[in-house]
Amino acid sequence: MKKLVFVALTMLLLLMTVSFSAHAEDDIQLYYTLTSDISAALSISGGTATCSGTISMRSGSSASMTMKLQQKVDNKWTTIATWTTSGKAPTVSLSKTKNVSKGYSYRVYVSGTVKNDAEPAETPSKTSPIKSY
Amino acid sequence: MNKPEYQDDQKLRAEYQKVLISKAIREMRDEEVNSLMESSPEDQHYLEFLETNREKRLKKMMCRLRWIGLKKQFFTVAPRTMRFAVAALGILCIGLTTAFASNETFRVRVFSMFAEDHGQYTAVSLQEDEQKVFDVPAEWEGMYYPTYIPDGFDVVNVENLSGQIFLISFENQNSEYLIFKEMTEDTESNIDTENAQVYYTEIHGNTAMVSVKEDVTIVAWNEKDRIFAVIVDGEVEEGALEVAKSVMRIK
Repeated sequence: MKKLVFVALTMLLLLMTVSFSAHAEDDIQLYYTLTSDISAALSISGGTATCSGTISMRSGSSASMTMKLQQKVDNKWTTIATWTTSGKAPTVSLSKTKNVSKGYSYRVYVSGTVKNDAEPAETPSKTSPIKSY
Repeated sequence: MNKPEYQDDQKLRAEYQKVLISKAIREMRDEEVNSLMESSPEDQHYLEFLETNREKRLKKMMCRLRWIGLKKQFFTVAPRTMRFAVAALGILCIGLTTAFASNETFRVRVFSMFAEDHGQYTAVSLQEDEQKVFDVPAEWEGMYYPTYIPDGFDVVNVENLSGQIFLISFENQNSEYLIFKEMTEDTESNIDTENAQVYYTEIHGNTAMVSVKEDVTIVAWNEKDRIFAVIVDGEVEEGALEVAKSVMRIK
Protein backbone atom coordinates (compact mmCIF):
# COMPACT_ATOMS: atom_id res chain seq x y z
CA MET A 1 0.00 0.00 0.00
CA LYS A 2 2.77 2.39 1.04
CA LYS A 3 4.60 1.60 -2.18
CA LEU A 4 1.49 2.36 -4.19
CA VAL A 5 1.02 5.74 -2.52
CA PHE A 6 4.70 6.55 -3.03
CA VAL A 7 4.52 5.68 -6.75
CA ALA A 8 1.31 7.71 -7.16
CA LEU A 9 2.84 10.72 -5.42
CA THR A 10 6.00 10.47 -7.49
CA MET A 11 3.95 10.29 -10.68
CA LEU A 12 1.94 13.34 -9.60
CA LEU A 13 5.10 15.28 -8.83
CA LEU A 14 6.57 14.38 -12.21
CA LEU A 15 3.42 15.48 -14.00
CA MET A 16 3.38 18.80 -12.16
CA THR A 17 7.02 19.41 -12.99
CA VAL A 18 6.42 18.76 -16.69
CA SER A 19 3.32 20.95 -16.64
CA PHE A 20 5.13 23.84 -14.90
CA SER A 21 8.09 23.73 -17.26
CA ALA A 22 5.77 23.72 -20.28
CA HIS A 23 3.91 26.73 -18.86
CA ALA A 24 7.20 28.54 -18.21
CA GLU A 25 8.25 27.93 -21.80
CA ASP A 26 5.01 29.53 -23.00
CA ASP A 27 5.81 32.61 -20.93
CA ILE A 28 9.24 33.23 -22.46
CA GLN A 29 8.87 36.43 -24.38
CA LEU A 30 10.53 36.67 -27.76
CA TYR A 31 11.80 40.15 -28.43
CA TYR A 32 12.40 39.86 -32.14
CA THR A 33 9.47 38.25 -33.86
CA LEU A 34 8.41 41.43 -35.64
CA THR A 35 11.51 43.60 -35.34
CA SER A 36 14.31 42.93 -37.79
CA ASP A 37 16.70 45.54 -36.47
CA ILE A 38 16.87 48.75 -34.47
CA SER A 39 19.56 51.42 -34.81
CA ALA A 40 20.59 54.54 -32.93
CA ALA A 41 23.09 57.15 -34.10
CA LEU A 42 24.68 60.21 -32.53
CA SER A 43 27.25 62.72 -33.69
CA ILE A 44 28.13 66.08 -32.16
CA SER A 45 29.68 68.94 -34.03
CA GLY A 46 29.91 72.65 -33.24
CA GLY A 47 27.55 72.41 -30.28
CA THR A 48 24.87 70.58 -32.25
CA ALA A 49 23.97 66.97 -31.61
CA THR A 50 22.57 65.07 -34.59
CA CYS A 51 20.45 62.13 -33.54
CA SER A 52 18.95 59.40 -35.71
CA GLY A 53 17.01 56.25 -35.06
CA THR A 54 15.33 53.61 -37.13
CA ILE A 55 13.39 50.37 -36.68
CA SER A 56 13.03 47.82 -39.48
CA MET A 57 10.17 45.40 -39.10
CA ARG A 58 8.41 42.50 -40.78
CA SER A 59 5.74 42.88 -43.38
CA GLY A 60 2.34 43.70 -41.88
CA SER A 61 3.76 45.29 -38.73
CA SER A 62 3.54 48.82 -37.45
CA ALA A 63 5.59 50.65 -34.85
CA SER A 64 5.72 53.69 -32.66
CA MET A 65 9.22 54.91 -31.97
CA THR A 66 10.66 57.25 -29.34
CA MET A 67 14.09 58.78 -29.63
CA LYS A 68 15.70 60.46 -26.62
CA LEU A 69 18.85 62.51 -26.41
CA GLN A 70 20.37 61.91 -23.01
CA GLN A 71 23.04 63.82 -21.10
CA LYS A 72 25.13 62.27 -18.34
CA VAL A 73 24.88 64.38 -15.21
CA ASP A 74 26.29 63.12 -11.88
CA ASN A 75 26.67 59.65 -13.34
CA LYS A 76 23.00 59.52 -14.31
CA TRP A 77 21.49 59.71 -17.79
CA THR A 78 19.03 62.58 -18.04
CA THR A 79 16.79 63.04 -21.06
CA ILE A 80 17.15 66.50 -22.57
CA ALA A 81 15.06 65.99 -25.71
CA THR A 82 12.42 63.50 -26.80
CA TRP A 83 10.97 62.92 -30.24
CA THR A 84 8.38 60.39 -31.36
CA THR A 85 7.06 59.00 -34.60
CA SER A 86 5.07 56.05 -35.83
CA GLY A 87 4.55 54.22 -39.06
CA LYS A 88 4.10 50.96 -40.88
CA ALA A 89 6.53 48.36 -42.23
CA PRO A 90 9.14 48.24 -43.56
CA THR A 91 10.75 51.03 -41.48
CA VAL A 92 10.08 53.93 -39.15
CA SER A 93 12.78 56.48 -38.61
CA LEU A 94 13.63 59.85 -37.11
CA SER A 95 16.45 62.32 -37.44
CA LYS A 96 16.72 65.47 -35.32
CA THR A 97 19.24 67.99 -34.05
CA LYS A 98 19.61 69.70 -30.69
CA ASN A 99 22.04 72.24 -29.29
CA VAL A 100 24.13 70.78 -26.47
CA SER A 101 26.44 72.14 -23.78
CA LYS A 102 30.12 71.42 -23.48
CA GLY A 103 31.63 69.24 -20.76
CA TYR A 104 29.14 66.38 -20.83
CA SER A 105 28.68 62.91 -22.31
CA TYR A 106 25.69 62.24 -24.52
CA ARG A 107 23.89 59.28 -26.02
CA VAL A 108 20.76 58.59 -28.04
CA TYR A 109 18.25 56.08 -26.73
CA VAL A 110 15.82 54.65 -29.26
CA SER A 111 12.91 52.49 -28.19
CA GLY A 112 9.77 51.32 -29.89
CA THR A 113 6.64 49.24 -29.73
CA VAL A 114 6.26 46.97 -32.71
CA LYS A 115 3.03 45.09 -33.27
CA ASN A 116 0.81 43.40 -35.78
CA ASP A 117 -2.60 41.75 -35.63
CA ALA A 118 -1.32 38.26 -34.79
CA GLU A 119 1.71 38.59 -32.49
CA PRO A 120 2.04 40.21 -29.07
CA ALA A 121 3.65 43.65 -29.18
CA GLU A 122 7.40 43.77 -28.61
CA THR A 123 9.50 46.63 -27.29
CA PRO A 124 13.01 46.73 -28.73
CA SER A 125 15.48 49.42 -27.69
CA LYS A 126 19.00 50.52 -28.55
CA THR A 127 21.47 53.14 -27.38
CA SER A 128 23.93 54.89 -29.64
CA PRO A 129 27.67 55.13 -29.02
CA ILE A 130 28.40 57.59 -26.19
CA LYS A 131 29.92 60.87 -27.35
CA SER A 132 31.73 63.33 -25.13
CA TYR A 133 31.64 67.00 -26.00
CA MET B 1 15.59 104.03 -76.44
CA ASN B 2 15.90 102.12 -73.21
CA LYS B 3 12.95 100.69 -71.29
CA PRO B 4 12.30 103.42 -68.63
CA GLU B 5 12.52 106.20 -71.23
CA TYR B 6 10.18 104.29 -73.50
CA GLN B 7 7.68 103.90 -70.70
CA ASP B 8 7.92 107.62 -69.76
CA ASP B 9 7.31 108.59 -73.37
CA GLN B 10 4.27 106.31 -73.53
CA LYS B 11 2.89 107.87 -70.34
CA LEU B 12 3.40 111.41 -71.61
CA ARG B 13 1.66 110.61 -74.88
CA ALA B 14 -1.30 109.11 -73.03
CA GLU B 15 -1.55 112.13 -70.72
CA TYR B 16 -1.34 114.51 -73.69
CA GLN B 17 -4.12 112.59 -75.45
CA LYS B 18 -6.29 112.85 -72.35
CA VAL B 19 -5.74 116.61 -72.10
CA LEU B 20 -6.60 117.13 -75.78
CA ILE B 21 -9.75 115.07 -75.52
CA SER B 22 -10.95 116.74 -72.34
CA LYS B 23 -10.25 120.14 -73.94
CA ALA B 24 -12.30 119.16 -76.96
CA ILE B 25 -15.13 117.95 -74.74
CA ARG B 26 -15.08 121.17 -72.77
CA GLU B 27 -15.23 123.24 -75.97
CA MET B 28 -18.11 121.15 -77.27
CA ARG B 29 -19.89 121.52 -73.97
CA ASP B 30 -19.38 125.31 -73.97
CA GLU B 31 -20.80 125.56 -77.47
CA GLU B 32 -23.74 123.47 -76.38
CA VAL B 33 -24.31 125.66 -73.32
CA ASN B 34 -24.15 128.86 -75.38
CA SER B 35 -26.68 127.56 -77.83
CA LEU B 36 -28.93 126.42 -75.00
CA MET B 37 -28.65 129.82 -73.25
CA GLU B 38 -30.36 131.29 -76.23
CA SER B 39 -33.08 128.64 -76.26
CA SER B 40 -36.37 127.99 -74.44
CA PRO B 41 -36.98 127.40 -70.62
CA GLU B 42 -37.30 123.62 -71.25
CA ASP B 43 -33.85 123.74 -72.66
CA GLN B 44 -32.71 125.58 -69.51
CA HIS B 45 -33.78 122.57 -67.44
CA TYR B 46 -31.77 120.34 -69.73
CA LEU B 47 -28.80 122.65 -69.29
CA GLU B 48 -29.07 122.38 -65.50
CA PHE B 49 -29.29 118.62 -65.85
CA LEU B 50 -26.13 118.64 -67.93
CA GLU B 51 -24.36 120.79 -65.34
CA THR B 52 -25.23 118.49 -62.45
CA ASN B 53 -24.12 115.39 -64.35
CA ARG B 54 -21.06 116.98 -65.84
CA GLU B 55 -18.60 115.46 -63.37
CA LYS B 56 -20.11 112.02 -63.70
CA ARG B 57 -20.01 112.11 -67.47
CA LEU B 58 -16.44 113.35 -67.48
CA LYS B 59 -15.36 110.57 -65.13
CA LYS B 60 -17.08 108.00 -67.30
CA MET B 61 -15.38 109.35 -70.37
CA MET B 62 -11.96 109.39 -68.67
CA CYS B 63 -12.46 105.77 -67.63
CA ARG B 64 -13.23 104.84 -71.18
CA LEU B 65 -10.16 106.70 -72.42
CA ARG B 66 -7.99 104.97 -69.83
CA TRP B 67 -9.37 101.61 -70.94
CA ILE B 68 -8.59 102.42 -74.59
CA GLY B 69 -5.07 103.42 -73.54
CA LEU B 70 -4.58 100.21 -71.58
CA LYS B 71 -5.75 98.11 -74.50
CA LYS B 72 -3.34 99.88 -76.81
CA GLN B 73 -0.50 99.43 -74.33
CA PHE B 74 -1.31 95.75 -73.95
CA PHE B 75 -1.19 95.09 -77.67
CA THR B 76 2.09 96.94 -78.10
CA VAL B 77 3.98 95.90 -74.93
CA ALA B 78 2.45 92.46 -74.35
CA PRO B 79 3.87 90.75 -77.43
CA ARG B 80 7.42 91.57 -76.25
CA THR B 81 6.65 90.35 -72.74
CA MET B 82 4.92 87.25 -74.07
CA ARG B 83 7.94 86.40 -76.15
CA PHE B 84 10.08 86.45 -72.98
CA ALA B 85 7.46 84.48 -71.05
CA VAL B 86 7.23 81.79 -73.72
CA ALA B 87 11.01 81.54 -73.90
CA ALA B 88 11.26 81.26 -70.11
CA LEU B 89 8.54 78.60 -70.06
CA GLY B 90 10.38 76.67 -72.74
CA ILE B 91 13.62 76.74 -70.76
CA LEU B 92 11.74 75.71 -67.61
CA CYS B 93 10.09 72.78 -69.41
CA ILE B 94 13.40 71.52 -70.76
CA GLY B 95 14.97 71.95 -67.29
CA LEU B 96 12.18 70.09 -65.56
CA THR B 97 12.13 67.30 -68.11
CA THR B 98 15.82 66.81 -67.59
CA ALA B 99 15.39 67.03 -63.83
CA PHE B 100 12.56 64.48 -63.85
CA ALA B 101 14.49 62.20 -66.10
CA SER B 102 17.51 62.34 -63.85
CA ASN B 103 15.40 62.54 -60.69
CA GLU B 104 14.35 58.91 -60.94
CA THR B 105 17.71 57.22 -61.29
CA PHE B 106 21.29 57.93 -62.15
CA ARG B 107 23.43 55.50 -64.06
CA VAL B 108 26.62 54.09 -62.59
CA ARG B 109 29.16 53.02 -65.17
CA VAL B 110 31.32 50.04 -64.36
CA PHE B 111 34.77 49.68 -65.89
CA SER B 112 36.91 46.63 -66.35
CA MET B 113 40.61 46.60 -67.01
CA PHE B 114 41.54 45.50 -70.49
CA ALA B 115 45.02 44.03 -70.91
CA GLU B 116 46.62 43.41 -74.30
CA ASP B 117 49.85 41.44 -74.49
CA HIS B 118 52.27 42.95 -77.01
CA GLY B 119 55.15 40.61 -76.29
CA GLN B 120 57.60 43.14 -74.90
CA TYR B 121 54.91 44.90 -72.94
CA THR B 122 51.25 44.61 -71.99
CA ALA B 123 48.98 47.55 -72.66
CA VAL B 124 46.38 48.13 -69.98
CA SER B 125 43.32 50.32 -70.25
CA LEU B 126 39.86 50.70 -68.85
CA GLN B 127 36.81 49.66 -70.79
CA GLU B 128 33.24 50.27 -69.82
CA ASP B 129 31.42 47.04 -69.05
CA GLU B 130 27.97 47.77 -70.44
CA GLN B 131 26.52 44.62 -68.92
CA LYS B 132 27.47 45.76 -65.45
CA VAL B 133 26.04 49.27 -65.76
CA PHE B 134 23.31 49.81 -63.17
CA ASP B 135 20.85 52.47 -62.11
CA VAL B 136 20.67 54.04 -58.66
CA PRO B 137 17.64 56.00 -57.40
CA ALA B 138 18.49 59.69 -57.54
CA GLU B 139 17.42 60.16 -53.91
CA TRP B 140 20.03 57.67 -52.72
CA GLU B 141 22.80 59.59 -50.97
CA GLY B 142 24.76 56.70 -49.52
CA MET B 143 28.30 55.92 -50.56
CA TYR B 144 27.53 52.28 -51.48
CA TYR B 145 24.67 50.61 -53.31
CA PRO B 146 23.68 47.02 -54.24
CA THR B 147 24.04 46.45 -57.95
CA TYR B 148 21.81 43.40 -57.72
CA ILE B 149 18.19 43.59 -56.60
CA PRO B 150 16.05 40.47 -57.25
CA ASP B 151 13.42 40.77 -59.96
CA GLY B 152 10.04 42.08 -58.89
CA PHE B 153 11.29 44.36 -56.12
CA ASP B 154 10.49 48.03 -56.55
CA VAL B 155 11.72 50.97 -54.49
CA VAL B 156 9.18 52.10 -51.89
CA ASN B 157 11.28 54.33 -49.66
CA VAL B 158 14.65 56.07 -49.70
CA GLU B 159 15.97 57.87 -46.62
CA ASN B 160 19.01 59.80 -45.53
CA LEU B 161 19.01 60.22 -41.76
CA SER B 162 21.38 63.19 -41.44
CA GLY B 163 24.18 61.35 -43.18
CA GLN B 164 24.34 58.81 -40.33
CA ILE B 165 22.01 56.12 -41.67
CA PHE B 166 21.02 55.66 -45.30
CA LEU B 167 18.29 53.19 -46.05
CA ILE B 168 16.35 52.05 -49.05
CA SER B 169 13.35 49.71 -48.98
CA PHE B 170 12.02 47.61 -51.84
CA GLU B 171 8.75 45.70 -51.98
CA ASN B 172 7.52 42.97 -54.30
CA GLN B 173 4.01 41.94 -55.33
CA ASN B 174 3.73 39.59 -52.33
CA SER B 175 4.33 42.54 -49.99
CA GLU B 176 7.75 41.17 -49.08
CA TYR B 177 10.42 43.70 -48.24
CA LEU B 178 14.07 44.01 -49.00
CA ILE B 179 15.95 46.68 -47.05
CA PHE B 180 19.50 47.88 -47.59
CA LYS B 181 21.03 49.96 -44.80
CA GLU B 182 24.32 51.81 -44.82
CA MET B 183 25.44 53.16 -41.44
CA THR B 184 28.36 55.28 -40.32
CA GLU B 185 30.56 54.72 -37.28
CA ASP B 186 28.18 56.95 -35.27
CA THR B 187 25.56 54.19 -35.41
CA GLU B 188 24.94 51.05 -33.41
CA SER B 189 22.35 48.40 -34.24
CA ASN B 190 20.65 45.40 -32.71
CA ILE B 191 19.95 42.76 -35.33
CA ASP B 192 17.42 40.00 -34.92
CA THR B 193 19.29 36.75 -34.26
CA GLU B 194 16.81 35.40 -31.74
CA ASN B 195 16.25 31.68 -32.35
CA ALA B 196 17.88 32.18 -35.73
CA GLN B 197 20.45 30.10 -37.55
CA VAL B 198 23.50 32.34 -37.34
CA TYR B 199 26.80 31.85 -39.09
CA TYR B 200 29.72 33.93 -40.35
CA THR B 201 31.05 34.22 -43.85
CA GLU B 202 33.07 36.69 -45.92
CA ILE B 203 31.93 39.55 -48.11
CA HIS B 204 34.61 41.44 -50.03
CA GLY B 205 37.20 40.13 -47.60
CA ASN B 206 35.32 41.28 -44.51
CA THR B 207 33.56 39.14 -41.92
CA ALA B 208 29.83 39.03 -42.46
CA MET B 209 27.17 37.74 -40.10
CA VAL B 210 24.21 35.89 -41.60
CA SER B 211 21.04 35.39 -39.58
CA VAL B 212 18.42 33.13 -41.10
CA LYS B 213 14.90 32.77 -39.75
CA GLU B 214 11.74 31.43 -41.29
CA ASP B 215 10.41 34.91 -42.02
CA VAL B 216 13.54 37.02 -42.32
CA THR B 217 17.14 36.77 -43.47
CA ILE B 218 19.70 39.38 -42.45
CA VAL B 219 23.27 39.83 -43.63
CA ALA B 220 25.43 42.36 -41.79
CA TRP B 221 29.03 43.29 -42.52
CA ASN B 222 31.36 46.25 -42.77
CA GLU B 223 33.56 47.84 -45.37
CA LYS B 224 36.02 50.45 -44.15
CA ASP B 225 34.07 52.78 -41.83
CA ARG B 226 30.60 51.69 -42.95
CA ILE B 227 28.31 49.01 -41.55
CA PHE B 228 25.79 47.43 -43.92
CA ALA B 229 22.70 45.34 -43.44
CA VAL B 230 20.62 43.56 -46.04
CA ILE B 231 17.27 42.52 -44.58
CA VAL B 232 14.99 40.35 -46.72
CA ASP B 233 11.61 38.93 -45.77
CA GLY B 234 11.59 35.14 -45.83
CA GLU B 235 14.16 32.38 -45.58
CA VAL B 236 16.11 33.58 -48.59
CA GLU B 237 19.72 33.11 -47.63
CA GLU B 238 21.16 32.88 -51.12
CA GLY B 239 19.24 35.88 -52.42
CA ALA B 240 20.22 38.02 -49.43
CA LEU B 241 23.89 37.04 -49.79
CA GLU B 242 23.80 37.80 -53.50
CA VAL B 243 22.45 41.29 -52.78
CA ALA B 244 25.07 41.81 -50.07
CA LYS B 245 27.92 40.68 -52.33
CA SER B 246 26.74 43.03 -55.07
CA VAL B 247 27.15 46.11 -52.87
CA MET B 248 29.77 48.40 -54.33
CA ARG B 249 31.08 51.88 -53.77
CA ILE B 250 29.46 54.39 -56.09
CA LYS B 251 30.98 57.64 -54.83
